[in-house]
Amino acid sequence: MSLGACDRRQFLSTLSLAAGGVMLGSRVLSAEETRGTAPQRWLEAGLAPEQLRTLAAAALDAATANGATYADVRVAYRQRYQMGPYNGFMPDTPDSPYVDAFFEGGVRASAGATFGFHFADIPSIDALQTAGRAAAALAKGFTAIDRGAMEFAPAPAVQGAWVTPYTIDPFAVPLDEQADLIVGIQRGVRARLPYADPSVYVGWERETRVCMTTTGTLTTQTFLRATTANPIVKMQRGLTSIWSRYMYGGITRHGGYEIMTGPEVPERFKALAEETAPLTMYPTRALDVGRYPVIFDGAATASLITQLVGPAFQLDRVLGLEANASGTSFLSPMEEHFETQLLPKQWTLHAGRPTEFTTGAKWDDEGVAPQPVTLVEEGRVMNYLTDRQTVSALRDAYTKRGVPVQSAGYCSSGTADRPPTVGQAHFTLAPNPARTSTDDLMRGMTHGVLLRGPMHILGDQQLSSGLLLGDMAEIRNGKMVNYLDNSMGMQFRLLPLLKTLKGLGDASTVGEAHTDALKGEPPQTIWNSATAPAMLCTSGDFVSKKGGY
Amino acid sequence: MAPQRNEAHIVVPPAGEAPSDPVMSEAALKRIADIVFDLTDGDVDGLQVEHSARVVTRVANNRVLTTDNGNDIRLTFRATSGGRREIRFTTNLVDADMLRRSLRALRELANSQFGPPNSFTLHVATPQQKLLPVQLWKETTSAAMTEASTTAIPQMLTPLKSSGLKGSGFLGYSARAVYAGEPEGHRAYCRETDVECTVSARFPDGKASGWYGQANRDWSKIDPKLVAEKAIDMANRSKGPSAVEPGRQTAVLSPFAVAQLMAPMAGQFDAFATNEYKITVFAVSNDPTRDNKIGLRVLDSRINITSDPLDPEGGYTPFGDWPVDNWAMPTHTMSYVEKGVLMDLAHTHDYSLDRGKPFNQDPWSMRVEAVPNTQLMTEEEMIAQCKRGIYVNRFSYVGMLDSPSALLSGVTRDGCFLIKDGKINRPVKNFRFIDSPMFALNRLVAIGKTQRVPFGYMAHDNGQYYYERWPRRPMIVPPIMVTDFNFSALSDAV
Repeated sequence: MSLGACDRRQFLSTLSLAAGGVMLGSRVLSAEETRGTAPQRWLEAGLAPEQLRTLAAAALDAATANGATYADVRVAYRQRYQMGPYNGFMPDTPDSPYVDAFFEGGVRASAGATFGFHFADIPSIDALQTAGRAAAALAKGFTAIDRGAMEFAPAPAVQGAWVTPYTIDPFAVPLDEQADLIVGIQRGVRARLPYADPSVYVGWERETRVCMTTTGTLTTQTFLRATTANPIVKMQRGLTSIWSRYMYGGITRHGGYEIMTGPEVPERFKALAEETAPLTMYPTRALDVGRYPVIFDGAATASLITQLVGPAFQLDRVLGLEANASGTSFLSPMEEHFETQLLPKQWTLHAGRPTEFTTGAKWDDEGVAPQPVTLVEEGRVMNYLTDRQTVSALRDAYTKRGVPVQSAGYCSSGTADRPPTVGQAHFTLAPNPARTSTDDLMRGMTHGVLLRGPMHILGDQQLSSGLLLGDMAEIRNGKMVNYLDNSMGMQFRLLPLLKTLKGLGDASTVGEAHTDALKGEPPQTIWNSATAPAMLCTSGDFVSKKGGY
Repeated sequence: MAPQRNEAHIVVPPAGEAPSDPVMSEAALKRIADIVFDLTDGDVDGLQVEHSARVVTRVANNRVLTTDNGNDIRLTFRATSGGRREIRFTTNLVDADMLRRSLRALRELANSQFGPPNSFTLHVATPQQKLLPVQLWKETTSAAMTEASTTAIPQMLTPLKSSGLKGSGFLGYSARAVYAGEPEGHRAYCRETDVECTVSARFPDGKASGWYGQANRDWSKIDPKLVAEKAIDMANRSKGPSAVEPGRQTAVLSPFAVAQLMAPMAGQFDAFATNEYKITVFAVSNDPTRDNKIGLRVLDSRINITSDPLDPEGGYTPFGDWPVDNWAMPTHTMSYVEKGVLMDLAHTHDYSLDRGKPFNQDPWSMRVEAVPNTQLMTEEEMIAQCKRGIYVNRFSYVGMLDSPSALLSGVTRDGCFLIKDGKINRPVKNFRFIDSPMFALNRLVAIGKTQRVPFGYMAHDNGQYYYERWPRRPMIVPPIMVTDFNFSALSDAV
């Protein structure tokens, strides 16, 4: 059932009432006035799935005619728009929206030893055939130089289609109305919260991506990604910024405009405002440099996973395939770390690609359906994120376990015109089954720090250490007493830090995080998301970074 | 490599264009722009057409991993109305029907009520404004894009395969042509080539590694064999590292390391961020007489920092060529720091043009060099005069911690050595650092000769989005020796 324009305006009115009764917007537009500004007016003439499949087939035919022994192709039509606040002289004015629309295609071909990859960004038969021929020629050329064989795990042929479920098509909602939503939220927040500086973006991306292989796979997926970024509020007290949690969740999701305007949203907004406002009542101060016990709230733990732990399980990083690019892994070399007790016994970490999150998909970019994987079981490294090119490294282990040597479905191209890589996963750290709230974790703490995620972590080339930045609070005798100013960071080595794990929170402490990361050269963007409970570690090194931001 | 002819599309290279050119000529891009302006019949105020091509080969574990070749056309349109903020639309779909409809909608949106009227002045270039006569195109690189990787890659692989180490590498050629302007106004065109070659060499046990790289617009200046050999040498010299207590130490930083410290500084020179947001190191708060530190000494007096489209090694497109810039607006030779004194800021925003300042982009092409007649030292000479310190080959995962102080943090990698009594003493384990190039360049002991350096991989961090873009703008930097560089902790990473 879709909400009409009238219902959306009612939502905006309700939102402002929840925030303190401030009238929103300076005018009401009629449907006729606003109809012209819906993003789909700009992007009408797209490429239909059938056209994309025709182009994909042309590429594969050309690749095989030119000597490829295997080829796969991804072609996509992608539309995107985003609009945010103008953070200049007119805080209640939306900034210029940007809109784009792209065709992207990339062919990967093998002649035995290696892959050749060629992209084509013109949606014509000629261009895709040229790309297919070129990919095959590259593969043959390098096979002549490098006479080794490439292991490429088999995968069953799959045929299917999937579309993100949604209720309201965001591309059909006039931009004027979306601008009103931004202004309404921002005015409502300021009316309700002192020192507030809200920053709300609305944006969606719709992509139809076809994946086709010479072994019979054909998948067509249409993703509707909410690229909305929405820290509800940044409150400034002096040099200290206090961020609320995300109003729409810490992980970008698949879905329609109902994500912004669903009936639960005003209540969520109200709850976040009420949770965040008291934080501004705490005094802020700097912490003395030193070593303290530290509690990661759920979002902070999730940040640790999306930025360090999770990517370390990408098997291409472990095998050294990214050594000159994004780096290797603290799990390298594989022979030394596989099936060892490397992480805390309390940690059981799963990976998957549920389609509700933008890290998810029905099929990966090799046409393999993603399988849930247990990466860590009670602290033991049990598995990795794999694709068809890397899974062969686990042949002996999988054979011993009696499982097939098949990709788990974690192959991703950031856009269809980029070479596939291992990435894009949603990680879940299992919470403590025993009742353990954040207050319980704080209870025994004489003097320590609470990290309020999500956090930003400056890592290293093996994801083994970092400098962690973000919102922090001081705990004394089990209670929060101060907010820390932004002069501190926590320096840590990952595995020694996790060795000091004393407690894990229960399901009530679970938080979310979502991170963009770069892989490959030239770099492409890959996403990771995670849900995780709070955790207490007995030793974090807090250093000064001088000055606030 | 030129785009294919297709009846549904308007991208048709004119007859006579050399088929081997990887990107379109000025005449071809102009023709596209003219067709599009006619098609859109006044709906757009500005257009940028960019045609880019790349030939990339990646190596991992001493084998070819993949290629990443192809070319792309991108059109970005701009429409404004009534002095309101502009609307932008970008696409690579050059279908006439689609463009006509989309751009009609673009005009409708620009005419709608976003923001108060007359709040924004669109500055456009005039035909009287001349572009600097840059020379960024090298035929050696253009010609190499069709054939060279099949001979160059074996040159990289051969030393790696015989070294006993695991080698990974990148060899990327790029060509780019951009054409921008208004329907009846100023037009600008520029084309460029670039090459980057980098190699990492690691011991199979993962306990030591080395790295080296080269970058140049001219393929004839790149030597993949040498790059591989130097990476192998650095790895061999890094074998068996021991831990050294972290702390403030004298540091000798190679040009690779200096480039990674200076790259995040590009945004610091932005006038709007400095004067209005006060979020850069050059901002002044609480002083009614000044917004910034122009005229004040901010670095050691032996340092100049310039950004010049005509720079023989660091040149770049002489007009705004990002969609957020003022398109086709000429850029100029900029001297940002002279003898350590801040001379100017980059005026990238219409707010600056409203104030009569010349337009320029943030200087992510940058030359950091010694003032003329400064005594220069080689890295060996710097080491020779160091009683105790750390030599750093390069950094990794460098990110901004605090913009007002330009405080950065990152990790050393691929060659980190203890200097003792004027000699390299031994390889050491890697460090995390927390320091600012502003602080470091005020503790300068010695400076060397500049060279163009590759970045290698740059992690996405803190909005340094322009470093995700490839190829990256040139950085021309020297090796330096500084005191009290803050190696804040040991790092387990190799």
